Amino acid sequence: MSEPRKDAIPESDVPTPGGGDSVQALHGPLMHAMNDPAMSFTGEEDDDGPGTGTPGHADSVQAMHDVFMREHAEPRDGFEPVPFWVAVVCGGLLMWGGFYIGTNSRDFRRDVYDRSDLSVPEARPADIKEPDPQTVTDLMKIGAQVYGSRCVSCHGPEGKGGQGVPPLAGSEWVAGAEAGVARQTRIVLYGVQGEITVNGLKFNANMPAWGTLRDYELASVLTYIRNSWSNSMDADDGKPGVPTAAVTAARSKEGLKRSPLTEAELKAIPIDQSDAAPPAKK
Amino acid sequence: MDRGMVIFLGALLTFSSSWLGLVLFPFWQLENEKPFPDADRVSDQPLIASGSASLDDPYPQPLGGQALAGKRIYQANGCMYCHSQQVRSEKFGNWWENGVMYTGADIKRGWGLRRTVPRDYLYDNPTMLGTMRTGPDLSAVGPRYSEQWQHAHLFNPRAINAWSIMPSFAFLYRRVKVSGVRLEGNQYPKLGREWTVDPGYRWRPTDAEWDQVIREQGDAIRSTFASSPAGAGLKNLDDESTKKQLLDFWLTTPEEGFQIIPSSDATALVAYMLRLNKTEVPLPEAKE
Amino acid sequence: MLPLAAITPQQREEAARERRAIDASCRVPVLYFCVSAVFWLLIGSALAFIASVKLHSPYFLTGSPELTFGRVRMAHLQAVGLGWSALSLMAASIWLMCRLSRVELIYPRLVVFGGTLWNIGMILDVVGILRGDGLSIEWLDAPRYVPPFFIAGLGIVSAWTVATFRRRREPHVYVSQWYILAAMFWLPWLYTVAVTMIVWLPAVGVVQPVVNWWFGHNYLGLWMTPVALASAYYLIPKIIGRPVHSYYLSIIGFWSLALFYSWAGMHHLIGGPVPAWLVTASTVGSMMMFIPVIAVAINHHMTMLGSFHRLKYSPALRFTVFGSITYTAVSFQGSIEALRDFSEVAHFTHYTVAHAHLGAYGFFTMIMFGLMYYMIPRLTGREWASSGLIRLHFWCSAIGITIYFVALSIGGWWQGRMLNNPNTGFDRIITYLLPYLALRSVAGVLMTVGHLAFATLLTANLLGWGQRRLGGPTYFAEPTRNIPPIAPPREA
Repeated sequence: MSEPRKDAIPESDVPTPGGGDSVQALHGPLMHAMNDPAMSFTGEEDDDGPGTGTPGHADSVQAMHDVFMREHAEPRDGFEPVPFWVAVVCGGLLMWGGFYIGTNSRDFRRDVYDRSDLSVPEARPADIKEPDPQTVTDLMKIGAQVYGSRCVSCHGPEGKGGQGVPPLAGSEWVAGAEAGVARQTRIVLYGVQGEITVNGLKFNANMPAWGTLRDYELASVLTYIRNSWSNSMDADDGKPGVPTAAVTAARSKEGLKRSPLTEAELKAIPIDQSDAAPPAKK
Repeated sequence: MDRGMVIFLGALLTFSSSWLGLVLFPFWQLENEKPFPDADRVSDQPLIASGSASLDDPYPQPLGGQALAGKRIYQANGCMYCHSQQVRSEKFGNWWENGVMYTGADIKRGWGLRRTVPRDYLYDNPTMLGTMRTGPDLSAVGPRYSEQWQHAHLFNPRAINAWSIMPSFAFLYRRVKVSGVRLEGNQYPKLGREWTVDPGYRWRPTDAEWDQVIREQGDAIRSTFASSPAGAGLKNLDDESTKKQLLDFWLTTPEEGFQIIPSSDATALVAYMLRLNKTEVPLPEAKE
Repeated sequence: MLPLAAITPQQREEAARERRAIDASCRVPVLYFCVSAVFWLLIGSALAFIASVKLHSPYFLTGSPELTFGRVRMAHLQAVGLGWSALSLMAASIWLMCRLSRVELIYPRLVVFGGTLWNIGMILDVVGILRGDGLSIEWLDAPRYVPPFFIAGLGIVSAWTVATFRRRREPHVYVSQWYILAAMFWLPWLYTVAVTMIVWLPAVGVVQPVVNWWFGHNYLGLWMTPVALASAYYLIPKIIGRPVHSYYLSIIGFWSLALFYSWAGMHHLIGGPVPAWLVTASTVGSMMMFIPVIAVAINHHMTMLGSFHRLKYSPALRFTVFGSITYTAVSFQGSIEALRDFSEVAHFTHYTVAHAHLGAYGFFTMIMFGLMYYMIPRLTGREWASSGLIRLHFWCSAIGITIYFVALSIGGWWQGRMLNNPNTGFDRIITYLLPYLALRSVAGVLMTVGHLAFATLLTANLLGWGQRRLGGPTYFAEPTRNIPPIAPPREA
């Protein structure tokens, strides 16, 4: 960058540090030095209002000039010291920053994406108890919540389905000729693909797998669907048709199988197949 | 600091630091990501969720054809500003239930089977990770919904979820007169009568209007209703309780003589969304 | 200490004459940039209103592809982010640089040409996006034929600002000049790199969002923030007639901003498919922003100390101080927001939107308004036509942004909490958000009313309806006479 031009007009009033320690002691004289005379000249205050200029005077160069004289000089720097606490805060922040980078950068690897100061236990400790709904009423309560957050956007609040999505209310797969617990658990665990016939109508919508939900949640939502709207599959409150154990058992059977089932594969599962060992085992 | 050079050099150095650190270094780190090869894949696991790719193909595959055209529509209409395309890990975030802390809402919501990693975005251009979740994440929306559902939802999201605030994309569809037979197929949304009035607006007739409709074409409506699964077994179609069912039926059956046809843009957009499945192949680096 | 006598009345008169010549030399380009900026502000406000209403009333203006939410959202960001912000801060940079360097602007037509290129780019940008050419890259949505216009226009304005600086007659380089110089150097680099790596020669996969957030955050941090700070550093001491509190704090503030702000941005990718260290680096960068913010806050506050009564009279000062205080608040909030535990909730929600608007509007836009209230009468030779309209503008903007921020922060925070719990369905989240989104529209209407008031004032001023600059400036209220003599209330 070039040096400022040497023909600069007046060596201006660059203030120098020093003088008193108080803000006022420094500022007082400085401000006088900075202000244009028009500013500190008290007798001129009458000009400060409309309509004081004489007619014709308004267009004159002098009038404009006065206006510019009204302005303060360009701003200058003061030279107060930096408070000590600011230095302390800066130092503290820098130390924290170094520590944080040191502990959270995972050696700058390109294939590690998560924080390392994770306070969440990797595995859920044994002493954390999951809800264990036993009765149809309890299952329905949890199931309504799960249905409302996962299923409702396709199957609708009334279980009527729509736009390629089969209905659940009155469906033969839920509460009719095709209704089997083993089939139902697999539908929610692995999803459905391809065409499927429900109540005589053909539907073709892929249903996603919900295997990421916990077993009791899947059991609950199935119980909810089996007993809502016009469906009522579980008359005995104490004996739910789809207990949590049934989902657990179905999940453990297929192991890692993940691809959704087709209608043919579903029909290949016997309606009365039971995955769960008698409840006594659990 | 009265010298311009000091300011210039300082600005250059500070900015270079971030340019090197936040742009060039990640660029060098990530530019040589490769598709996932067959050899590394565990063979005894059938991993492909839907039929979009075969087991022999490396993952991911670049988009092509309709899906690629659909991505442009997705871009042009700013879908990215409400829908992200990234699934966060099982350890991400937290929520409490009965005093117990859980994490990993994205996966629990069914948005994907695993977290997404850089390799999933190898052919994404631009990479629309998203900035906002006014709507759900779409990284793996492909297998979640059918083609027909997507069309109906695009046409008017409130037809499927009454609470939805997604804009209607009815402008991607045309209402045409049916000449001869109706077009059938997954790409033709089976939209009821309400969609054919003022595209995008849900329309219900007033009582007076509905009475007039019944006066004019009541017999035809009743006879189709009686022959449909919903109307089967209902005997007296004139009493008050069935009147409401009749209206619902009439509203949800397609308008006589007209049909909603998707434009090529709508077809492409749906093709893109059906193709979105960023979590279909488990990658080694995505393991927690 | 310099004795009073060192400056003669002749020298003061000389200085006033010089200021007048400088203002005359940049009158045309600076007014051109101001008018363009306000034009884009009005367009941006209209687009914002449409987008905001659509979020709670999805049937509003449906049926035409041009006005679908996604496109309007992109066009809004471009209109206010690249139209209003860039043009207003270019106006500020040119004028402040001329005044502080004490040189007249030479070849003002060249700068007007640069601004015209930028305006052509903006028209193509907004129209192109609405017609369906938008790229869906946040902050870089401009269709691919637009960036050359921006780069050329920006190049001219940057080069001319630097050229003005090199011709300076004032030996002392004031803190405002540091910020302006640095910003004019940073943005062309930033923009060219971002456009090249995302649009022209796209980098692989997730490198794009990394570059995208680097650009998006630095556009605010290294372009809008420095010039707004430069403006505040100029106006506050200028209007109240006191020196800036501490030169040392100015230095700390400037260099720490340059170093740390440029490292922020990646925290927007928290949980995303990027290496963990990137997010960590940006979190630290954001937290370090406490240093420049504290430095600037002390500097501005201590300069203002004892002059707060001036806020009653001076519009320029009131807007500027509002912006300065918001800067401190929004930066503290931003630093905290970058922390992982906080970000895990706030990310992907309206909370971030509230924060972004507090920064871009409550801080940047308010300071630009303040500068324009000060600068434009000096360029046109007219006072503002109505102090009532200025008052209306201030209160509409101030109350508007407050409602906006409070509503979306509360709504966004709980939105984040609900999103983190998979058992909360989307229906519940959307239903919960609706009243907050409606409040946002109310806030938007208020701000737009303010902008209309400002546009009216500007039009009146340019058409010569205002009072000539003979007496005092247009104040909110007539100053009382018992003001400390040391700082008379003469400045608008």
